[in-house]
Amino acid sequence: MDIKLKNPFMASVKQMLKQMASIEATGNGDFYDEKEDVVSYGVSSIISFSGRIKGRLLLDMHREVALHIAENIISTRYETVKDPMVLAAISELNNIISGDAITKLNNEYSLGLRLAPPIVFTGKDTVICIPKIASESFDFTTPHGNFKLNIAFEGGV
Amino acid sequence: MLSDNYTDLLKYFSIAIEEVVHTMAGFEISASKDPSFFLRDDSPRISGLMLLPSSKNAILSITVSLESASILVSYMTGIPVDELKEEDLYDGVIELVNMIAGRAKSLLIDTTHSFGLTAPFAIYGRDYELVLKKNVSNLSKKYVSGDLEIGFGIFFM
Amino acid sequence: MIKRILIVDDSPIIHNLLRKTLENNGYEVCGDAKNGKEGVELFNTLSPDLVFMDITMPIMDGLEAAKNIKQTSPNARIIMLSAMGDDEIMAQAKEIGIDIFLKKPFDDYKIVSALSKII
Repeated sequence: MDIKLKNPFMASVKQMLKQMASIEATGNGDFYDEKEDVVSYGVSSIISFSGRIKGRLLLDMHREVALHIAENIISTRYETVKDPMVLAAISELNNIISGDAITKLNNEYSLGLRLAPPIVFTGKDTVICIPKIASESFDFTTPHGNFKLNIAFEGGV
Repeated sequence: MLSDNYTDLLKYFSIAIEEVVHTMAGFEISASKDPSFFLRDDSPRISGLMLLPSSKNAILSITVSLESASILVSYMTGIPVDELKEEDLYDGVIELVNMIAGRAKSLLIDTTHSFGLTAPFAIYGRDYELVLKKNVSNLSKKYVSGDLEIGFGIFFM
Repeated sequence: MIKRILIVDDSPIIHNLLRKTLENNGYEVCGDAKNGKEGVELFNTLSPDLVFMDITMPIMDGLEAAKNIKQTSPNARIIMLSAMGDDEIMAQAKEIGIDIFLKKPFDDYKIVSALSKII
């Protein structure tokens, strides 16, 4: 996958986690090819975008990370990730991360990418299966648990 | 309350799901009058999802229990139920959603409704909850045929 | 006189955050809309001093809603608040007559600063 497409997402994850939720995310290694099945850490959000090319960003994180994100954004402690406000916070985070990254891509490469509303899900031992499109992942660690970015594109710049 | 415009669109998706399941797996399914949805319990299930980008973005979703997935995929592929692997089930459900979206798109070709197709994906687990960004018009139906139950949803954003 | 503000965004988080900032700085949130269509309706009934408008929303997006509002109320004050901020979208917003375009995420300073420029 073209590095020009994936790097803005990595940068946006780090920046927006810090800026919105005051969470330091430390990158581990480099992007790697993802297998078809991603075993979720517990809370996931997928956002799709389309324009001259199509793509999808998956953010996946431990429950504690999601709870801290929500707490830091909303200044309220939640007990469960199933609280609608926690899931709304993750949804908005994904929206902002994606929006920031694709703004850079649009300005640089005139891709005309537009976001669709994100979906968020949480569950026990959830597996996300993403065949038909090659994707790459990048792992972060945070003080509260793990955070994964998985990006997929159909087409290139 | 969905407008007539949406109702018309949804009719074609309903035709698509019935046709695809019949063609691929040989089942005549019909919409259940029972509004209760098995998704409320804790049993493992698989959801196949596809974003349909258009002026009104939509998400298409098909959800089945593990048992229903096994039945469907066994009939689709000819592989006996006890020889099916988990990946076969994800792949099968993903294929179904892919075909339903494709069929609906072709049924709608002479109408004012048009949408794109994107790479489908699946979520597998127990007790997961999907949360969409907010306030979407949607149709959720349960289709049945004997022991087979298929949850169908289309969420307009 | 306290300035009245309408918030149009499909995210409950944004409503929550904006409301806190606005009320802490002496503004009144007179209405909350979850999509562009509701936003236009509430604008017409409430006549707020200013609208905060998201772009990506169901039913009717923010650009269309803003266009609607500007057609009937050319002097309406609108601050666009969006995760998207590429040149094309900003050009569209400018053409509609959006007063200020703010990219999410925002902090109190950005919001108050933008407000003080137009109301």
